[in-house]
Amino acid sequence: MLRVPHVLVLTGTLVLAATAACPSAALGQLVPRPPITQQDWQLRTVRESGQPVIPIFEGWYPEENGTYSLCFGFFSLNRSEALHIPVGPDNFIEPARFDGSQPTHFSPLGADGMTREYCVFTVNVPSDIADERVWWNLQVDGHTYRVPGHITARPWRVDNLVNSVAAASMGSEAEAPVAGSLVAPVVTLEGASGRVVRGKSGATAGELTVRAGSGLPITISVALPEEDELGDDLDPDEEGVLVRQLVKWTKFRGPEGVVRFSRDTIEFELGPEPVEQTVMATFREPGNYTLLAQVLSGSFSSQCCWTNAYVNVRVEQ
Amino acid sequence: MSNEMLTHLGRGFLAGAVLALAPGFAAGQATESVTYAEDVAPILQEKCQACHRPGSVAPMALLSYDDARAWAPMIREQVSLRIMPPWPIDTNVGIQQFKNDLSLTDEQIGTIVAWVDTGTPRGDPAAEPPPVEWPGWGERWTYEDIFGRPPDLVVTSPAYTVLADGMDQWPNLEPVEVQGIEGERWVRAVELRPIDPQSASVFHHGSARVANRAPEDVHQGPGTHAVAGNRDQLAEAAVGVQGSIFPEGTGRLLKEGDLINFNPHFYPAKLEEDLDDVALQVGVWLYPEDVIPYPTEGDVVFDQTRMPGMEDTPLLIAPHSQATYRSAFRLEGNARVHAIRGHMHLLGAYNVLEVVYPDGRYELINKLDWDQRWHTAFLYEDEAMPLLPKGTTVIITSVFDNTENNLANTDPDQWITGGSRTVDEMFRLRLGMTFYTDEDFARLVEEREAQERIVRRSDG
Repeated sequence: MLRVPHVLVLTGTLVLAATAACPSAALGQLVPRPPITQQDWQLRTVRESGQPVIPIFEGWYPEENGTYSLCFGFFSLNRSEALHIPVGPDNFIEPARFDGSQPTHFSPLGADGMTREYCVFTVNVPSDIADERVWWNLQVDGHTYRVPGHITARPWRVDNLVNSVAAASMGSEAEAPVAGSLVAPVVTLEGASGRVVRGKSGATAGELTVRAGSGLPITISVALPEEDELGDDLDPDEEGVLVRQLVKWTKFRGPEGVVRFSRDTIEFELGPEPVEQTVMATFREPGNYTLLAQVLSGSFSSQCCWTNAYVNVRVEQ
Repeated sequence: MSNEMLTHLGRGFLAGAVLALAPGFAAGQATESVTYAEDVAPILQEKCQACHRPGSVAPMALLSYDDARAWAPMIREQVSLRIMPPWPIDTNVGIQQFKNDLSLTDEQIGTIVAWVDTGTPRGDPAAEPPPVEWPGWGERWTYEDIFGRPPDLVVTSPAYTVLADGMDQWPNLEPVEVQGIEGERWVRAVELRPIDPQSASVFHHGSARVANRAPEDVHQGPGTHAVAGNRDQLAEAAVGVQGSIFPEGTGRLLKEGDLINFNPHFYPAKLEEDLDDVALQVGVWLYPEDVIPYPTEGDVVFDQTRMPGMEDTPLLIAPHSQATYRSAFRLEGNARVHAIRGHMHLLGAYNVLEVVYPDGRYELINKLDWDQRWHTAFLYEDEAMPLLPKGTTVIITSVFDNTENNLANTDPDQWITGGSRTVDEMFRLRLGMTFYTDEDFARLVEEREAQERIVRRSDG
């Protein structure tokens, strides 16, 4: 695991409080609530640097082919420092057949200092996964942080393409904004023969090639879904909230080192016609990278709905 | 909180173990004389039947001897552990004078335990109290008993279809214009309820507020700008909370043409098909036209994530851990607190409210034992309402339990963050507050001290 200063070179001491395991208790037994003794303040404090990144299970959703997708994000406790954790013993998914789709670059908290990264990748599991758990393991400074994804609990179900709850309440004149984003937009990826992607499961384009230190323009095209893909409750002509769109670019995987974007986030208005958005990415180190564009119309709350688009880039010396 | 989770919690998981846990209540009881007719039925009528009757929220009725006898072991278990009636507050510390105290006394618990332990004798049926005539759903508002009349006006929300997909739903319903008032009127109480049992079956909690008030038009008592989350809210309801009754002499303003915005949280556990025509309604009790009460803030929400000093402390709970969050702020106005209520989700263990007065005195106001099945608002008796002068330091502590010991926990392997979903977490404390000018507050303090002198004199 390597720590990557995002803005400044900062050093920090990492002191982690042990996470005490509590005695297990089977359902059906009377178990008195134990006294509160654990004070793991350190794990719940955001610092400029020196803190871990915590894997988060966002929830699950069904795919049209009968399989399921498990959605994972992460919560960096660093305000300025990015972490680089290559796939391997410090960054792996088990069972091993699901390993490999996770990020290796962990951005610090968002500009507001508290916004974590939501559902940056998914793990597709078969329809017969039953109660099997898929664990994402991260090791930071000798401590392991892990979280299981599963489809066994209904409260962890999330939407993917249409925020059904927000859609069902549209048409209201309420002043409060809808929770989350209304629909996942359609994104067309450059360099993938016009491959179209929609939803958090995402798709990867590439590979684009550039020299280290040179700027690489990357273009994606964003459009609203067809009306028949929106469900009965949503009329895009009436919903002004769909007009405002946001593209958030981050480094997802690649060698240690900073990738600079001309703009980390791009806000724009979307009409009936697709809109192309271009960002300039500059890579300091050669190697193979994957960049992530998250395209959405509102916020990440309610874990819905947006589109994850990944772009592979080969950076030559 | 879902019915699914209620089921998970409520089905006798404590059976057996509890039978050995209640000797203290039975000790010293004149067990031979305890009968249903003379001893148990009055307790059930007073403390249980409001919910345990057909069409109400409880899963079984306790209206008759046969009902009570059939459920006697569970009744014994639940009352012995003080799980029922729901009164999730630590009764060993802090203020204990509440207007809506549902809890059983030790003596009442002892009576029920003795009745069960002696074979549930009925006694003389002729000695049973006459049955209470409970109203059917929608026939009467809860606050009618307090005010002696139905609400002066009722506002019903637009209908909403709850989707049967197992996810939390927070629809933004179209605001509804208040009908039936002219000019400005002051509100004494607001009750918020689902319009029918079907709506109640998916209702998690919700609020009603005035949607059209300009920020400069919202009453802000002195110093309230220092507290977070204040909105022009009229009432909030959940299981255990019917709405807001503002203290006598205080109220909130309602104007002709005001729009009421309903913000419900529905959770459709076990809903097999979409449920149409789900709606809420508020009943509003007004002061007489010529009465202008002291403006109250109603519920002030203290969201710990937004409190000073929490900028570097996100809500993030490790697997198999218990997490404590503590935050404090200085009150910039003189406040009287008339109600207290916690708000957490499935991992909540308890909230504590402490204060340090400007003169250095410390007081633990209350420790709320969070139970996600109930959202009880604890309404202080008039003479017990905390009086917090300007400069008081308010300390709020929230404790979460993400272990297997928390039977509401859906998955103790998870890292849990803050959010609105049932499986995310929140830490909020709601205080019913009225802010007073220095002069008016000094008068309140004088009145309280005079009352206390009278009580001391009569005591001794």
